[in-house]
Amino acid sequence: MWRDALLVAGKDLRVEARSRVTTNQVVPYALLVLLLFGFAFDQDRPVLAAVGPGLFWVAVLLCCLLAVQRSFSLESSDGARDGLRLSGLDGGGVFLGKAAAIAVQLVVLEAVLAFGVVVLFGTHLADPLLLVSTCVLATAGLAAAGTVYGVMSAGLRVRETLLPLLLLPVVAPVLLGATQAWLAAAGVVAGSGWRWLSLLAAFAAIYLTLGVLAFGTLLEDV
Amino acid sequence: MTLTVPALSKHPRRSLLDRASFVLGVASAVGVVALLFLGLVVSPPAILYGETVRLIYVHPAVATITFVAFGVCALASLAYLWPRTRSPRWDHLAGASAEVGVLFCAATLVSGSIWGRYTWGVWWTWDALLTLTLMLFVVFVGYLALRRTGGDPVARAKRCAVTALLAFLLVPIDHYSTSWWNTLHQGNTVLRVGKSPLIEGWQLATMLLSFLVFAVLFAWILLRRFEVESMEARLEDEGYVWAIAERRAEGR
Amino acid sequence: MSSPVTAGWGYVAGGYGAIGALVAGYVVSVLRRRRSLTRRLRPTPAEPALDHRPSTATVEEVP
Repeated sequence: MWRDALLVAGKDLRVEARSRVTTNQVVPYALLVLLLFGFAFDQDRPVLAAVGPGLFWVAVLLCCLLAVQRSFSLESSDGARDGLRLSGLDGGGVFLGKAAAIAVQLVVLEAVLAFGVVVLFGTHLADPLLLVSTCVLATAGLAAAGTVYGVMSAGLRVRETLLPLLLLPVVAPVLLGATQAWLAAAGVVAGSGWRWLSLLAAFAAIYLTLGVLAFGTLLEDV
Repeated sequence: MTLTVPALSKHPRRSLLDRASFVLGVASAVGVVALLFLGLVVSPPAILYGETVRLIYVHPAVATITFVAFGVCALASLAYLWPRTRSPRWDHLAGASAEVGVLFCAATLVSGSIWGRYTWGVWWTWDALLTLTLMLFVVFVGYLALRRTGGDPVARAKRCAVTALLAFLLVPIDHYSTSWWNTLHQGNTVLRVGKSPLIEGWQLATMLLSFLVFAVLFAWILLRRFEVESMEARLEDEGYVWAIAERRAEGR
Repeated sequence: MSSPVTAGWGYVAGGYGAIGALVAGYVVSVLRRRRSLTRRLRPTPAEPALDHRPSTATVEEVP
């Protein structure tokens, strides 16, 4: 399973590296979202700095949608999906591979976005350990959930509109938990941000487990 | 020349389902009238809430039924995914229950909002229970959208069953996240650990009756909706037979 | 909104009305869908015998 996962992740990342869709389109889009938030809050620096963590995670969610859609549109052309089915790769392995590829792209995006939030909004980020662990767990959860719902809507005619409707409410707890942890790290709210990590970990664990178990069925039949 | 068309299914006969549905329908009609009489006329206004206490005879019961409906949807989805019990009936039941659940969820949100305007002074507040209910509402609206995507019925049923189960598994996560975030909603009025209920007499009786009435009403609507779901599936399966029969009848 | 008492009744009416309208509207729509489906699924009376046997018609017979 792990070797299959590495194969699939390597394939997806190689496709990304050659097509440069993430670097040429998704990263600029993420920065554009930050710019729009800046316009919407009318350069009110204290407000922007305080809500920076929340805006950061909203931007990550929006980019996650794009990454998931991209990941499954890769499979939709040239019968690649059938190729994946016939390849004899383990379903759980395919799931972990696709989720890992999405996660790697999200981590790159998060680095760019964090830089943007600090520079453009003046958010003061402290406690790097908490920030990074939040990012790792939240990214794992987002990538896992995104992959599950991505494959579910991949074959449908209405996938572009259905995926946000299915995915965004489901990952709402991730947005809530990650934002609260970051707010705690930035010192905007009092209290420890660490307890939110257990929530993010539980979310990631549920989706990773179910994805590994169910992905084969979803890829075969759906 | 004979046309080769599979045999038509029989006209739905008077079944146990039909009779149960009739009894439930009559019972819910009687129950609703009784509940309105007790809730609006017999039971007295409360000291603290005044007349608005009468909302306690609808809102908590509808909210409870919402969770029951989503629970039925999750259980039916589980039964569908389990290979030994797999049957399209479970898929139909899950779809019917989810739709009725979304209806009751909307009713919960609206009536709760009106009550909140009186009690808390705002239409909406980001309280844990309210947020959880709203999240469930949105998730199951997405589920209903997924049910309408067409394609192979078996694949669609599997997809929907997985989605419903995932939605239900998230309930504890949503619950913890929202309650750590914010809690304002009042606790349970009737079931309190080691204490007597907060209300008594006609108020308690009416409130307990409301749970019964809404449960019966839910069962009746669910049965009717389940029939519609099954008939729609049949029409989808055998629809071309009817289409051919209609064209033939036109040509005769 | 003249006195607290009438205001209270307004909220009660709103809550009961909203739930009643939603549930009643839904019940009516379900019953209507059920009736129309029942009608569409009812076989027409002069239905010819339909079976799975392969057609015996030859190409020449088809006008």
